Amino acid sequence: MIVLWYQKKLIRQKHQVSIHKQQLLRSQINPHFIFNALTSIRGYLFDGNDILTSVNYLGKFAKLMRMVLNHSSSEWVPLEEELQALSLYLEIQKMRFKDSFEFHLIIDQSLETDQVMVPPLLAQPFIENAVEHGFKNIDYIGKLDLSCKVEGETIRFEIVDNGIGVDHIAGKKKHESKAHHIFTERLKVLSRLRKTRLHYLIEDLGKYAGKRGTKVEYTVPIEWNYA
Amino acid sequence: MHKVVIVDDEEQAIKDLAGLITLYCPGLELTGTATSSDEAIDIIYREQPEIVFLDIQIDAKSGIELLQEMDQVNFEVIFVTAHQHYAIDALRLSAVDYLLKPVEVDLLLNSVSRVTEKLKQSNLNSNLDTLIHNLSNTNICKKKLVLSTMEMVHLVELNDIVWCKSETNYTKFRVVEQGNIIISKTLKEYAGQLSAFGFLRIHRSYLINLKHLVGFDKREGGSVVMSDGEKLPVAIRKREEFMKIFEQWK
Repeated sequence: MIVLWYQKKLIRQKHQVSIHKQQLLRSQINPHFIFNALTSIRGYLFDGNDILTSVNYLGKFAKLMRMVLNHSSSEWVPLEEELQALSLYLEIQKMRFKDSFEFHLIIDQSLETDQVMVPPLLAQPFIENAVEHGFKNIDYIGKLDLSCKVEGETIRFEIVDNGIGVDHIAGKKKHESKAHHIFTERLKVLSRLRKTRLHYLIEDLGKYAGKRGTKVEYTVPIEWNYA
Repeated sequence: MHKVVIVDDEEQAIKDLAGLITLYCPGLELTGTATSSDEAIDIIYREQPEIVFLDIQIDAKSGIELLQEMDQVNFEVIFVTAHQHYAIDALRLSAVDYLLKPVEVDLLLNSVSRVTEKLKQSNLNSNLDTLIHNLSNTNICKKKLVLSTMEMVHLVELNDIVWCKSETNYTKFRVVEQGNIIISKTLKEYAGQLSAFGFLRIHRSYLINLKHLVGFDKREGGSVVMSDGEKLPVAIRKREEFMKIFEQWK
């Protein structure tokens, strides 16, 4: 009896893990982004002599897709690759939105990005929000800064943009709230795994005098890659 | 030559579609493009296009709002969208033309020839009104379906459809107060569209609206009784699924 009950429990747990994995997969890349990027690549091809741009663009797109596919089956990836994927994503979006924004990755000098492992693409939904919604219809150049530094056994990510601010993004979009939900779920699982409290904060900077935009801050546990 | 305007908030997407049109549609003349609703309204008034390619946003409904703002929609619209279930359901239900990004050449040519054919006749825009209705009405029961036969375009509220029957390549609709409407599309197509709105396929030949279900006759393998008094057979394979739904109501 007990054996049977235990087996059932195992099956149930496995089932939940697999659901979680599926959610991970879905959270990682928005199909909308894929189709819009492809449309825009072909746009450059039709744009007279901009063949170089579209060739370059397609190369980046393929590279990003390959990284996302590889990462979707791993729980941990080297920070170096994570940052590379995020900056490919941003470069592609920059081409899609015709350089209407700039971005900077600010990495702690002492950080050995090939030694540190992080959960993949946690920052992506926030970056996507900034680029697709925060910078929409603004009449100045958008700016996005992503910084990370190690604090003990965790790493702190900070994503700051100068867009319209998270409180002003019209009507909570379905995908975003889902992305947000998956993010907090992943964070919960990670904090249970490590038995540590993980920090997560998202705020509209508009409430501070002379400021605008959105700031997202969170910590995630790290693993060390000694391979 | 038919005058064409493209509306999309992404410049690159405009270039893409413009490129395709120049390359593949010699019958169309691109007379303007716009990246915002205001711009679009101006250019449409100025150029008086016959066809407008209109990008619809995820759920910002900007394209639909644009149409609502115009006093008169006296042009054909081909919607363009990058994958979104909600929008696609509304588009399909309303039988308007839509294309998915990145636009496929074959499908573009199909849409263009369908629309230019429509321009020759002139029963414009009743489908469009239906789409606006479907997108802006959150009450599912009030959603309408366009059923167009050789002689008539019927606008039927989903709530009023009692059942549909497959008759080889045709589908017969039993509609409250309107009787039977026969459409030259297969039941399979409608079953896919309507399943999200409380319709159930109980048999190879029958799709029923669960709101009009009044009873279940257990004799001879089982059949349902509908609000119009009609008795329809439930397929053996469907019986279990059907009984489950019945159980939920108990």
